[in-house]
Amino acid sequence: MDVNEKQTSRREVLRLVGRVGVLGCLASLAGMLTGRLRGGCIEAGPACKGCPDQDGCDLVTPPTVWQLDPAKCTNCGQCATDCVLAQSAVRCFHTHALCGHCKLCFGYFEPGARVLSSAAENQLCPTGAIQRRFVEDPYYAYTIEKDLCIGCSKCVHGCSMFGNGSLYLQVDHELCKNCNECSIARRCPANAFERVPVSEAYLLKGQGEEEGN
Amino acid sequence: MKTRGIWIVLALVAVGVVILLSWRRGGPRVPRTYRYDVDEYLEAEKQVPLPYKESARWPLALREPRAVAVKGDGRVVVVGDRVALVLDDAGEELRRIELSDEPRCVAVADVVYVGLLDRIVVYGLDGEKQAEWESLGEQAYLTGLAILDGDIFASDYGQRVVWRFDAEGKMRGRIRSASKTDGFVFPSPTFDVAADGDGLWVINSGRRRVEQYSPEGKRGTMWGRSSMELDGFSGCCNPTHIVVMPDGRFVTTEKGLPRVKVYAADGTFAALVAGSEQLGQDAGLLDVAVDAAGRILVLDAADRSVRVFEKSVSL
Amino acid sequence: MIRFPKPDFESGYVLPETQTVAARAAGWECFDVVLLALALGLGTWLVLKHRRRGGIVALMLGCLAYFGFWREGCVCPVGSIQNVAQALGDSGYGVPLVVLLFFLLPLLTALFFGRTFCAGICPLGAIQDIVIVKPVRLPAWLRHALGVIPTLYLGVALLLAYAGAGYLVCRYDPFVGLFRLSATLPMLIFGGGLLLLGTVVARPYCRFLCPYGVLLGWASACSWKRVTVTPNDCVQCRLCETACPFDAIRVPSPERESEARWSRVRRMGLYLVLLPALVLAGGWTGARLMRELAAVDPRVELVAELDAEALGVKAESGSRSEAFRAAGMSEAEARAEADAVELRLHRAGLGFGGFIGLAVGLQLAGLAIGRRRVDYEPDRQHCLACGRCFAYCPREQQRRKQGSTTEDTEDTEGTRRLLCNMMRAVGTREGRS
Repeated sequence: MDVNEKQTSRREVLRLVGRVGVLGCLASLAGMLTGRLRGGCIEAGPACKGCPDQDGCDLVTPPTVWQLDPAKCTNCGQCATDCVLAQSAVRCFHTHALCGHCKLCFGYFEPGARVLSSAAENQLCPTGAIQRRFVEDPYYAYTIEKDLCIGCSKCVHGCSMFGNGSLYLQVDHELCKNCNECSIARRCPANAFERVPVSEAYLLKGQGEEEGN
Repeated sequence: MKTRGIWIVLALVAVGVVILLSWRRGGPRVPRTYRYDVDEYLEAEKQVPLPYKESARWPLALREPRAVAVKGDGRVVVVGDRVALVLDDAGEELRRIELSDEPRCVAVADVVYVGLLDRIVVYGLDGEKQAEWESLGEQAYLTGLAILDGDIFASDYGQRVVWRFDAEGKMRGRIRSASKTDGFVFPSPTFDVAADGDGLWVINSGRRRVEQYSPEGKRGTMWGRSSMELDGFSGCCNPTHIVVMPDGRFVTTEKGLPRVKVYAADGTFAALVAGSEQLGQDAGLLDVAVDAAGRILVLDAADRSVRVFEKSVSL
Repeated sequence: MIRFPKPDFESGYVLPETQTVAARAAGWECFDVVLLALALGLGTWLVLKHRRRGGIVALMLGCLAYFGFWREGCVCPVGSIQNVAQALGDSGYGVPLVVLLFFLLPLLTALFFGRTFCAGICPLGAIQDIVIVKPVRLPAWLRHALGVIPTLYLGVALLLAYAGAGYLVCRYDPFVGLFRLSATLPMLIFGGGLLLLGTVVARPYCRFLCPYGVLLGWASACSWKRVTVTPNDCVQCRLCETACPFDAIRVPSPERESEARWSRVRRMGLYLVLLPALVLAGGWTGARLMRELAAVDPRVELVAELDAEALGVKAESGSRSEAFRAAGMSEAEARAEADAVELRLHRAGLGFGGFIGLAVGLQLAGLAIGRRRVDYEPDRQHCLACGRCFAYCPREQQRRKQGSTTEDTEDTEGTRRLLCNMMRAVGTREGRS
């Protein structure tokens, strides 16, 4: 009985030491990760982008969501297939303020289309997700049916190649599950995905100083 | 028994990791129907003869070159990055002129006219700033300059007009859209102007054509058609730049499918100078100038160079 | 300011705004943390004080519904270890407070009260727990052997995250596709396979893969309070022995030791002498392995593609090199970056391999230590605190009959009778087999 008790108390002490050790580890880890953000910002990283108080960033990084930097995107088309969801959370967005409202839209028509009608064989979009509407001569308006869009970037490719790039791909938070590791981000050849603070949840075109070509 | 199990599992894990790593994905993963396909037009470019050959390439110490112009004596001016570079006819830098703002376009006669976003600044070839003209307003977005009989014509994409100034910078008039239904359409900042003895040649890129105007603003003839084929202008907003050669023919550049082409004086297609294969798929907006010897100078912003094309076969 | 002049509309056409749907608000994330903390507290009370499996199951189902199917997985404490590792390796990446709390709270709970998180909160554990049908007991050697895998997995995952090469654990999360009702085929096969296996081998992911479980196990090993089979003292009735589907109940050591003391000492000595060799071998293997693993890093992958192109292999469309060229970055820069990643992984792999060598060596040596145990008790490290064993204990039965207020009473006549009956029952069962 004597031996047992000695063994028990020895183990208790060992456990206490272990507990204090683990606690110390966790505390220093937490301290490192939060302390680094205290007093001035962390080395300004992608997570800081759009943060309202970048200078006086005094507590911790805000929750983040995934976005695609339209400036980096090369319209490779893989967003349509690389998302973990059946319908990709990346879809086509349209900044109407950048749109040329072309009669001959290269985001809407097949490159070789001879007749500018909405006939299916002239349409670029494999799911017919773009609506074309006459505004006034010679202008037409284009809108995306988001439920139909699969994010294949075919129209984005045509628009950015020939036009202004008013069509572009972006992560739609209505669909995005905000995976801890975005499976599109991992495979994106252009490394165009980044985490942005939830307060600035969309990187949309036409908000900065960019110019078309 | 206990320990043997650990070794077995360690070995299995090692084998598993090796197998996992040696298994790499292969094959294209983007379905064909999602591909934006212009291959047939790229192929067509390769089928035509190229009478012009690239005879020189002048690398530029500029991050973002914007525009190029040639003076009658062969000197070349390139602008970009808030500087204007004066080069000799072999591409050697003669002078570097600091500018107050980002340049957009340039023309050169006895002096250098640099178009900033909303105004024109005049420099001597010695680098001396001679004048800064008045701003054309908040909406202004200058994209091209041309000189005709001592008057300066500036195309303003932002306001869809071509401004006319005398040599002192006094505004003498403007060329406006002919009509709403048949006038200027510019979905992109592709609005250039060139001059020759017959008047001004103005790009109406939204309608894929080139229009002739008198200095007073009266529209004359037009040429150009919308087509993905080589003889037409592809895309929604082409051509992007135009210049008149000494013999009266035109050199145009296009974006999307980057092309530099020569058109005869009557607007019929004459030759492809360079296509996607020579310029690269991501060439962007290509400015162009022609010197007195008929050499075509293409400003390749992506390559940060001036590429010189010379005729190698008689047309 | 946009420098695109609007077309000269005359019909009064107004440009529509780009339609966006707001992201899940930050407030919800805080709510998740509060809920996690509450669930941990409730779970701890259920496991340590209330001691009813029913309550734990209810909590488990609730958490499965909320954290699993409603919240659809991300971010979870299991994955959060990688965010922490990445933040340590990359000063440009900051861990959001929510993620940090998701990482810390279950660990702190385990440090003081055992693995409550595994028992009732983790949706990955819960979904496996509800499919347990007929758990088999695994032989000790197999358990020990498979038990090495989570440590390896943890190490590799932390390393890759540290180097910024991606989140391995999230990539191979078997059940998140199930929560979202949308998964790729390999994911579905993996998850479905684990659930199928889980009907006979209880909670296979938790026990033989989960990297967070390793950390929880370490914390739990030196916990302050812990789950006990009996509410007071063990009467050695052996009834609980088969209650645990996870083979986490340790039996008393035999009176006579199976192996002579000097033999064990010699064995242990041998392993301790072998330890440096194991560390070196581990370090070497780790460094080699990391060189290979570096291939999953996008920066290294890009350089590999560039190399292949230099040898005349044409890149397929959508490749990294194509995008790289379109972006117009310098090749030397890309190569330097990739080299830096490789070097970092190489070094880290050396350390990690050495650590694994050490861990394996110590585990081997540890097996030679004879621990004297007099009672039936849950293994501190491996007990998932599911509470299945409570009902098997006659002392617990007694406690429940008497009500929880009189916990520490002496043996009463009732208990003794109950015990006798049970002993007899066990005796007959043993005799038959």
